[in-house]
Amino acid sequence: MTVQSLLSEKKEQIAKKWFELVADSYPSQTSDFLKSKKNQFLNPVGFTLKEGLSGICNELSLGMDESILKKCLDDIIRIRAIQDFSPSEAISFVFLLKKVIQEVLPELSEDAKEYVSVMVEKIALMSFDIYMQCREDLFEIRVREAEKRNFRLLQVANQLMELKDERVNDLVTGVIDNEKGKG
Amino acid sequence: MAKFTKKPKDLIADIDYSKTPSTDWMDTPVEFKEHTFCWGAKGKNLEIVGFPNARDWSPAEEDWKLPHDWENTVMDAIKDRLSKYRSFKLFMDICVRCGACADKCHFYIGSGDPKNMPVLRAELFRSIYRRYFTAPGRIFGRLAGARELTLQVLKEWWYYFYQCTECRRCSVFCPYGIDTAEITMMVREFTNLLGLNTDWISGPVANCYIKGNHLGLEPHTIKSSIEFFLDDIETITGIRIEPSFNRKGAEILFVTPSGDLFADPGTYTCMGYLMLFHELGLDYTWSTYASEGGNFGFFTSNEMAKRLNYKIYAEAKRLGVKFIIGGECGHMWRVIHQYMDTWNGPADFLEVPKSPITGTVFENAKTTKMIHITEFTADLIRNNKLKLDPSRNDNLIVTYHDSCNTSRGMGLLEEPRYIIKNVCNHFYEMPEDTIREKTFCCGSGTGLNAGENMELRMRGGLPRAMAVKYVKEKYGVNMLANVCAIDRATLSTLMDYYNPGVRVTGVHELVANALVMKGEKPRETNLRQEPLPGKEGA
Amino acid sequence: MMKMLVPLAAVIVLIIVSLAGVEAAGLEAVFGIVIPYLAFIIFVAGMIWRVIDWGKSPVPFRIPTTCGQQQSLPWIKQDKLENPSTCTQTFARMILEVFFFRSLFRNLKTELHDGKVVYGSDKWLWLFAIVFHYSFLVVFIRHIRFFVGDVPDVIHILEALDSFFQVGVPLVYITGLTLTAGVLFLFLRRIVIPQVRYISLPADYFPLFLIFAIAITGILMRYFTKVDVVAVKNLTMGLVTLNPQIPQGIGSIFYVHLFLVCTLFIYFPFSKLVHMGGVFLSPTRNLANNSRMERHVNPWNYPVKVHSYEEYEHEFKDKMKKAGIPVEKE
Repeated sequence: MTVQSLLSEKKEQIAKKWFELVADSYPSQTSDFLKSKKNQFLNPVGFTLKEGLSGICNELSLGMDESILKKCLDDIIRIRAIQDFSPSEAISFVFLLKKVIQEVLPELSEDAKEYVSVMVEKIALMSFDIYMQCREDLFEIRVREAEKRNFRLLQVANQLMELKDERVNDLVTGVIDNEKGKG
Repeated sequence: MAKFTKKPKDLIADIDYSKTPSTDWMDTPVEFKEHTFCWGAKGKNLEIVGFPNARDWSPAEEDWKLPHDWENTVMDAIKDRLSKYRSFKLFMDICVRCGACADKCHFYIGSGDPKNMPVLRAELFRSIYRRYFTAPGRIFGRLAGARELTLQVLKEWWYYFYQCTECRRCSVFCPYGIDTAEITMMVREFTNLLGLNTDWISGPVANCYIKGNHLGLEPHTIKSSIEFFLDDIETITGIRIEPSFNRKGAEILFVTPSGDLFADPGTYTCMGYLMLFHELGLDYTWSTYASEGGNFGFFTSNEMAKRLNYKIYAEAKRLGVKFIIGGECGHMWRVIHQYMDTWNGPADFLEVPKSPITGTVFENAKTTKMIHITEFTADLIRNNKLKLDPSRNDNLIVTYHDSCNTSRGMGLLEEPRYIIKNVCNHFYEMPEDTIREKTFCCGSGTGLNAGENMELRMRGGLPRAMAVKYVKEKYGVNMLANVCAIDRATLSTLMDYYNPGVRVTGVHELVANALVMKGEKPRETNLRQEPLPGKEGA
Repeated sequence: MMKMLVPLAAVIVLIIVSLAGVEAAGLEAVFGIVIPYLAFIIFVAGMIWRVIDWGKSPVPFRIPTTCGQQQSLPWIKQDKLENPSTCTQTFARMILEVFFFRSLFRNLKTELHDGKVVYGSDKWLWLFAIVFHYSFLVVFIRHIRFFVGDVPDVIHILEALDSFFQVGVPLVYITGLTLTAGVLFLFLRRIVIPQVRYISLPADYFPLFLIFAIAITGILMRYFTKVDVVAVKNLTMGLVTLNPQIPQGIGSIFYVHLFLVCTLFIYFPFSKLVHMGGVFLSPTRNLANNSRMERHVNPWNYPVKVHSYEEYEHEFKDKMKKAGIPVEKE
């Protein structure tokens, strides 16, 4: 039996166990909530975790399609990137997979273990990229929001270079006064 | 080599992935984590409105520069508010901690922090109430769930009560109707007595007090920014609109959140108002003095909110209008619907609102004399007073986000939906548990829409974002409509993070896109100056 | 753990005190007469004080939590129960809240997951809350038979219904069992669900243990030790007619039961159990959402410092004039 087919056979069990371990990385009151509440809208974190982790398990036994893996990981990490986790904590869930597979499939051959190990490392590296991307997004949306907040001002400022419109002047000085007032 | 004697398996077992706080909540001290709280208020902004203990301060620093007898200030204030608000007193006494509210808070769902469960958020304060205001608390102390008021407790209050958006979702599920918003308002009052507010709230409050609006736009700036919209409208429709400002004798005063004057995409909603009113030939005026519908004072103290709200009736009286129309805003409508008349009424100098176009009398506003623009527009559409071409919005697949305040503090649910369905051909609801009275907050209400607390906002907005994601994947939704200025700004950001490709709009932007105006040139673009469906090649 | 052990210990102490008081010290008069009178007075006075105390604080603003469509345009259907705008509608909303726990019921949600309908655990809270409260009510009403000379028909009918299944000798009252089951559920819920365990205080466990002990002693008396009901009625009637007496031959377990009930009465006004009265007063539920239709007056509304138009114009007059915005004073 190939390692893929072994993993495929047990993928639901692996995903379930993995999910429970990841849920336990939250405060105990919360981990129970994540595990028990089934509604995807009332428990979006639990739902996203569950879907994402089983998606990854599925790919482990198939072809490790990078785009699917990336989507699953992104869904999970996007949330963990804004929760109370340090960067290492945020992606630590990936390494739990090794532990879970060891427990569910203790009979794996050395080669198979090596396969799993390599796959987990691959996922970990991807996770690192995704985590960084999420954090960059976080700072970018902050900048973008500030831009939108003064969208009209920027629009006007661009025109200002060419136009000598009194209205523009009023507008700009008014807002600049105000910004000074706020700062 | 001794270091490596452990087998790999054991090493894995050694890593502790769990973050469970094993301690009781009273023994878990608050930790100020970066990106989860707003910056402290500036002294000069507090001074402008006469708030106590005006000085610059930073929540992240150890020393909060509190007055030396701050405990007494808080105690006196608690006593005073208990005697003034039955809601406050009752909600202190009757909670049975059944936990029905626990998982209803968007901040709890998104963060998993137990102190974000509404019941525990309230207990942060209730424990102090018990200690100093109830006999069992005085006698049995901790056994009765009581604890001493310390600096740590104060900091914990500040951290968590500025993580509540007063959305009232918990109140919907509470068997006794306990409303955490009421408790948050009170605790925020106490913090304001010590000069503990955020820069993001106190800045707009000071601006609004002196200049009439949160952004601090001066009269000429308001006018010129609206004139820029008029230029854009002329470009799009070929029609030049000429609104009036501070005009005496107008029939209607129009008040909207000032965010619509500057922040994208609220600006398009504002253009929508201008176009609609022009098309109707409405006899209305803008005011530069009462140029703010929103009320950040509401996030500081009841008194401050009243002081800012005063301008609306005062200006209506000065200008001699008959009634007032209010624009699309969330907390503005909580204030106008449930507070304004009580604070600054009776508005006996106004008349019961009557639509000059349809003749409909708005009996539901017969004492406050202010109607919501979606009530006004829904009535127009119902009476066939608008020529609409919804196909102009055919590139939009729309869903609608109920604002917390208009849904749970007013009940404005069908009016905006009726309008959207008449101006758009593709409208899909989000799942039932996430709309109407069960709507999820944008995560940035009550003045939490700053930049420095972005992580917190993304946690609070998570449940909303996930519901949008669902309709995005299922129906291809690409436009999130709402009737709230804060939503328009913050949901855009939320979508950028979780659901790129979904944009945000006010309802009246959609209306104006579909509105066929008399004498307009064939429209090539929508208000955002993007090609209309079918005109992409042009 | 301490949160649970302390109240448990407290209830055990209460039981021991009453047992010892009656069996060893022979204080039947204290436990059968003095304490019941005291408890009754404290309960009544305490609840009146509570309600007056709440009532003393005004309701400055009209703040109903609206859970449905408002009354606005005539062609938009208003949700009259969830967003009432008249007194009658509000009354109906309160009936739903008080008698059917409407808001708690909202938690009852069937969930579709993996194509299967899954029931949220929350419906159990509503169900057992209903079972618990109604059982308690019926048990309470049944006990009125001890405090009136001729037992009214209503109570006979209620008893007949309550023993509908006609099993056991004496006939088993359903509510005795459901009350115990309700308490047990509410207790288990508190220790099993981590969120609820985390927020629970000793004050949440104590009434559960107390009511459990009351139910158990009651069941023991009726079905097992077979207390002398006639003697008990003599005692209770004596209390009612202000002619207290201690009949012979009532077992100590009766005094334990009575003492625990007295404790509950005394404890009631000073604990979270006052939610029984408070639920009627909740401003987010018992007010009509008509604040734009009828003016709501705040009794302590006071004048505040404002920034008047005159001050505003004074400051910005030049800019206004330049921008062509009309001003009051040229």
